[in-house]
Amino acid sequence: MAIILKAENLEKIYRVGKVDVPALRGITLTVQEGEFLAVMGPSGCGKSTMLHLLGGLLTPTKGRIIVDGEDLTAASDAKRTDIRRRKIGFVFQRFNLFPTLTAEGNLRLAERIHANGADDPDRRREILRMLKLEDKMHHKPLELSGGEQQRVALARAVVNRPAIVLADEPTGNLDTENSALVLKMFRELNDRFNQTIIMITHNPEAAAACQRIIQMRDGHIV
Amino acid sequence: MDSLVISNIRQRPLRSAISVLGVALGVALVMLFTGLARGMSDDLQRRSSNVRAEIIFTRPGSVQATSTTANLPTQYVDLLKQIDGVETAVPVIRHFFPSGVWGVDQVEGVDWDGFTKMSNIRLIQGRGPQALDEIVIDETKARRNHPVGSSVKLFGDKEFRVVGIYSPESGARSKLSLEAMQSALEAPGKCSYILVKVRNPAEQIAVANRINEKIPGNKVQLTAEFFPSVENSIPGLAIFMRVLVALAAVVSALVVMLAMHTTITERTREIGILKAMGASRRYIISEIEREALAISVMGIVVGFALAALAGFFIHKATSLIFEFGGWWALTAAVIGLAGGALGAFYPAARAANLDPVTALAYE
Repeated sequence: MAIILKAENLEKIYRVGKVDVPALRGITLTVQEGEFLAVMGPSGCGKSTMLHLLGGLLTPTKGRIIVDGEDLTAASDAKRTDIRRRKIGFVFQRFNLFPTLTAEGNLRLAERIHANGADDPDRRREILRMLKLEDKMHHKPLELSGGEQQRVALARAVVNRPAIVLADEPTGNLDTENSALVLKMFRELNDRFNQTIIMITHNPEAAAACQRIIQMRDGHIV
Repeated sequence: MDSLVISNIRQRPLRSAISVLGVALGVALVMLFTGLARGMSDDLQRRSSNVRAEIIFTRPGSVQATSTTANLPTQYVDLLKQIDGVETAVPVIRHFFPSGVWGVDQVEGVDWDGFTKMSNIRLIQGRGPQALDEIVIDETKARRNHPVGSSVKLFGDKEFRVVGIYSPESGARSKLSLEAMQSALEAPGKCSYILVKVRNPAEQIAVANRINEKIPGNKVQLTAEFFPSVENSIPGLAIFMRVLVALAAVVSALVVMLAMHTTITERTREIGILKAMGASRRYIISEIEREALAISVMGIVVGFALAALAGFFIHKATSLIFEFGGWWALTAAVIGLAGGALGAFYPAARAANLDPVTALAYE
């Protein structure tokens, strides 16, 4: 299997007032294509910071990140945005859907951003069928349950065939039943499309669904 | 609704309506100011053109856009009639007076028989003015509840009886006899200007030159030049209009900027999501600009409708005339669009530069 993501000696230091606060203290990580990886660790250990760095939302203080052959750390802000557009899909704990758009509108927006107006209805239908959202397409987020919203968010993240899906506690706001359903969808995406997924979670059951688990503490992988 | 722009506009109807009204206000102001200037100017010229005299003889400075002086002896009428090429000459006193709360009105004292022979106006009801308290008015004024037999007040509380209605409109809408006007102004034997009709209109310049030679020291002007447009006759009006147009543009831009600034603040988290999805700065700016332009287009349409309605009701209430021209409508539309686009640019640029992680954490 090919390496889809490689992070070398990542460090991130936040400046809070006059104090430097290290969030990551030298993270090295390699992820294979098609891998489903869980990241666990206590609050404040740097999980979200690492995810934001891997997705190009933040720049590291030190170190290097290669996503699908492209160096995120050497890229300008515009180039990083472009890499994110083409290669990364995000899923957040709070779903982060656009409340004024329908479920389908949220997906089409992702397609427009990705492909400058072009869309792929076959791919969209396939994803929706798989995530059991076909009858929810014309509903706005507030008309959907938490589990349905998170499935729409997942559909939005994968509709453009990203190289990697980065999920930040995707079951954190869901009850047990919906958590299980969403995790099942993640697994199906991983199995059927060989989708690479890196998922932050506090839930050991969610982590157990993954092929590999890494533990973080105090800005290190332990 | 799949469009982020349209769904956002529909999601916040009150703020969208206020933004639309802000742009509409700017557009309506441009249309009303320019429409009023053009309407009044065209009305003045239209009414003047019905006089049918080619030359106006007067004293320098005695006739201004909104004031006149009856300082020209009527004896000049006979002198003018003796000049080769002159068919007839008719003395007129034009008097301006405050009218209502809106501005000034005017009344003319004319030698009625001579004036009607020279011009193409005809009585359609009643007769010409004879006694010192008699007045004739045009159809437009008559329609405002002034039938023959009614009375109108001039020169303070002095009442004049309407004895005739004439058409088409020509000069002032109210006309007294020359004697009545001289009496009211205590200017016996005087007038403001003398209208000169030439035998051959093609020779009006030659006749004007002859008048200048025979009666020097006065002001001889061709009628077409004498009744200039309001825009030319009031110093600084053109600049004033441009300043108003610029202010209207600023109002539109500020309203849109404020609305979009509030929108951006409310949607900080959504902008963070867009950034996480890989939306470029250009994409984010263009989404916000498209929303502003959609608001501007609605504002332009509402602005045109507001201007038309306001023009109609102001005309009904005050007789001020509005003529909306295509060029100014285009200018107003461009101002509305440019105001919206410029107003939205700063908030859009600010949104595009938001840090995505900070934006995503925004509550």
